[in-house]
Amino acid sequence: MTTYKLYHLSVGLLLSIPLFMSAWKWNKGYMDADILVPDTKFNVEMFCSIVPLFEDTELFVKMYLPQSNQHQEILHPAVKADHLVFKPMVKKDIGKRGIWRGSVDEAENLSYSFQYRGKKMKYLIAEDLPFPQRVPDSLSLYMGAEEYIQSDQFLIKQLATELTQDKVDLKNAVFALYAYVHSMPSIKTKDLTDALTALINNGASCNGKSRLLVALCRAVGIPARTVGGIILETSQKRTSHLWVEIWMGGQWISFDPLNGHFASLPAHYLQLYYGDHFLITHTPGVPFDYNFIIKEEKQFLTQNSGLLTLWGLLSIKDVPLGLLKTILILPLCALIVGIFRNVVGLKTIGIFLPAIIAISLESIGLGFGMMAFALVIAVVGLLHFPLEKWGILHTPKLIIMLTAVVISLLSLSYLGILLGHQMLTAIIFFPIIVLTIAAEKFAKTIIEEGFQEALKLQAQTLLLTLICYPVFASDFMIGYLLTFPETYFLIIGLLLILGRWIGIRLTEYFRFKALVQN
Amino acid sequence: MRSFIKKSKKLQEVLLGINQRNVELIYPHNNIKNYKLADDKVLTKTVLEKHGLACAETYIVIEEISYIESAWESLTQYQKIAVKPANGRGGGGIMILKKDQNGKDWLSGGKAIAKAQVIKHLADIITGVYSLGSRDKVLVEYCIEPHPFFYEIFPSGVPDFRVILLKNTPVLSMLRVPTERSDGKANLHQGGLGIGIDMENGTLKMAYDGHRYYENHPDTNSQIKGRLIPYWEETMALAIQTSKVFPLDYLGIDIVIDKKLGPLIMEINVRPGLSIQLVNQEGMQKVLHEHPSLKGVLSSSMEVHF
Repeated sequence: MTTYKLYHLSVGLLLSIPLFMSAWKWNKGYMDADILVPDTKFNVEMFCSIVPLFEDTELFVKMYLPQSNQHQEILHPAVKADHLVFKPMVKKDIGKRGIWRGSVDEAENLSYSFQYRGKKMKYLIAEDLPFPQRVPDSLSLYMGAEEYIQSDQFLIKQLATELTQDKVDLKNAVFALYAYVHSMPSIKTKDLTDALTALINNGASCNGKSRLLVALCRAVGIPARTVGGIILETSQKRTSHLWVEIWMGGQWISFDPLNGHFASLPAHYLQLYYGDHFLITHTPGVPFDYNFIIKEEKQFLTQNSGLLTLWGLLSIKDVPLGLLKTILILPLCALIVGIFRNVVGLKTIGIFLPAIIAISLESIGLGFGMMAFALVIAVVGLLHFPLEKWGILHTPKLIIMLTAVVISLLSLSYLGILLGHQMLTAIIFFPIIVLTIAAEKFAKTIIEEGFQEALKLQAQTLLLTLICYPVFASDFMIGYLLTFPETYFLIIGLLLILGRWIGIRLTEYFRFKALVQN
Repeated sequence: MRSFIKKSKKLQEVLLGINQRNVELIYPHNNIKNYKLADDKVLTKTVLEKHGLACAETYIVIEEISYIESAWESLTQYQKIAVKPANGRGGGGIMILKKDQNGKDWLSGGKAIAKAQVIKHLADIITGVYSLGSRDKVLVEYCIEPHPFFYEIFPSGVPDFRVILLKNTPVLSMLRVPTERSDGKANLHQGGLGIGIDMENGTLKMAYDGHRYYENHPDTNSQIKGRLIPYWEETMALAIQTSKVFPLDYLGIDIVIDKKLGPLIMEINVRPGLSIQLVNQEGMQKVLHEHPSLKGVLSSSMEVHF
C-alpha cells in the first residue's frame, strides 16, 4: 500500500499548498482587477494617396489629427510624405489639423501614424442639475443652428419641447432626447445625413443620429456638439465615426446615440475633432483615396511584482503576449478537455486538439473558424480513401495529406484576399500539423466505425472547442495565471485524482442505462 | 433528475465503465510489455503452439519481401488459406484464398485473382500498409470452416466467441454473428449481432444489435434464444487453459469452432470492449462482485480508487 501512501501525500500537497498560497496572495491584495486585465494599445496609420491630373500641379490634403487629452494618449506620432510639405495647425475648439501642400508630378502617398492608448470615460451626472440658464459666451458656438444641424426648424423644436416639457432636471431631459434618437432605426449608409432628414426618415447612421441629437439639445437651449473620430479595432477601414458631447454641469459629456453609450466613452474611440466638420478635405476633382490601418496590441501596464508570481516573464523582449498566453492557458484548457473526456465521456480527435483549435481561432473568430476547421479536416480526410486504395504507405500518405492541408490553407487565404474577406485570409494561421493529424484520424474513424461515427467525433471535438474558447479568449486568465502560477500544481493534483477516478462516464450512463432499467 | 441520480447510482454499482476497467483491471493485471503477445498474431500463435493449445495451423510466416516468391510456391499445396497481417487491426488486410474447381488457380471472394495481385498484397502487409507504417509480418494459416451450427443461425461469414477472463476465470462471454447489414463481419459496431451466453448451461441468450434484443436472427428468423452450443465445455476449457499460459490476467479470447477441428483460438485481446455487458444484459462489475473467486478484485463501489 506504500504506492498509494505516496500518491495520497502527493495529491494532498498538490491541492493544499497551491490553495494556501493563492489564499495568502489574495489576502495580500494581489487579486486587483486593474492589474489583472491587460491594457490595450492601438497602432494607427491614417493613410491617403492623391493623384495629380497634370504634371506639376499644386495639391493639398487636410486631415484632423489626434491630440492627447483625459481620454486618450497619443504616442510616437510620425508624418510621412514624399513631396508634399506637412504643416500642423491647431484650431481652437476644433482640433489639430495636418495640412500637406505642394506640387507633384505623380501619385503621392502620405500618412500620419501614431500609437493610441485610450481610457474608458464614465461620467457621473448629478440628478438635480437645472437646465442651463446662462451659458458662457465661449459656448455660443454650440447653441445655434448650422447647415446640417437645423435646431431652428419647427419639427425639431416641436419634438425637443415635447420630449422635455415634463422634465424638471437636465439629466432626465437629456436622457429623453438621447433615448428617442437611440431607439430610432439604424440605417447603414456612408452618405451625409443632416438632422432634419434623419428625423423625417426616422432613421440614420452615426452622423445623422448624432446631428439630430445635437440639434434637439440646442433647440431646448442645451449646448451640444458633434465629435468626429474613429472606432479602433484591428482592421483596415475607411469608416469614421461621429458622436456627441453635451455641456452638462460645467463640462462636456460624451454620448453615442448609435451604439448606445450614455454619458460614457469607450476606450477604443479615437477622438479627432469637435464640431461638424469633414475629417479629410483635399484638392477637389483629383483622384483620392484613404484608409485607416489599425492594429490592436495588448500589454500589461502595471506589473504585479509580488512574491512568487511570474510577472517578470513579461519583460522578456521579443516574446509576444499571444505566445505567452498560449503557453499559460494550454494546461487549463487541457484540464477541461480531460474532464470532458473522462467524466462526461466525450470522444475527441486527439486529446489536445480541442484546446489547440480554440487557441488558433482567436485571430479568425469562433463560428467561422470552426466551420473552416471542420471543412479542411473533412476534405483532406477524404483524400485518405484513394491513397488507401492505391496502397500508399503510411509516411508518404501523411505527407501528402499535410501538403493538401497547406494547399487548402493557401488557396483559402488567397481567395480571402481576392474577395476582400479578412477572416478567410486569417485561415493561414491554422496549425498545419494538427490539422493533418486530425484529418487522418477522421478518415480512420470513417473506415473503422463508419461515416456517422466520424461525424460525431468531429462534432464532439468542435463542441469541446466551443467550451475551451471562452477560457482562452479571456484576457483575465493571463493575469490570473501570472499572479497565481501555483495553479499549475493544483491542476496536476486534480488530474491525479481524475486519473484514478473509476466512476462511470455520463455517456456510459446513456449507453448502458438499459442494464438497470427494471 | 431524481431518477437520473437513482439510476446512475445503481449503474455505478453494476456496470464496469471504461475508467474502472482501465484503473482496476487492465493497469494492475496486464503488464504493458506483454501486450505484444496479444497484439502480434504471430507471437500469440508461438505461445499457443508451444503449449499445444488448439489454433489454426500456421502454414508459413513471411517476414522479408525477398522470401515472398518462394513462400508463395510452398503454399500451392493447400486448397484454402487465410492470409493475415500479424499486427492488423479490425480485420484490415485479411485475405481468404481458395483454389478453383480444377484445383489450379486461386479465387478471392469468388473471383479469380492473379499471382501478381497476391504477391503485391503480401508485400503491402510487410511494408506496413495495415499496421500504421511499421514493418509487419504475413501470417498464412489454415482457413477455418465454421461448424454447421453457425450456418443454422446465419449462412455466411465466420462467427466467433468472445470470452472475457480475469485471473483465469471466465467472467462474460458472447457469440458474434454477422447479419446482412454487416457484410460478413461479426463486429457489433459494423452491424453484426452480439448474442449473450449462459455460460453454465452452454446455451445462447438474446441477440443484440446495438439497439434492440431479438429471440430470432432478424434476417433468417432462425431461433437463437435457448439454442445449445456445440463443444461448449471444450471451448471454455480451451479459454481457461489459454489464459493460464498467457502472462496477462485480464483478457478477451476469441474462439471459433471449426467443422472438423472443433474450438480453435483466433485472437487474444488485451483491451476487450465493454458492450459485452449490454449483450448479456448484465453488468461486469456485478458479476465480479458476486463471483466467489473474484471478490475483492474491484474496490467496493468507491468512486475514487485510493
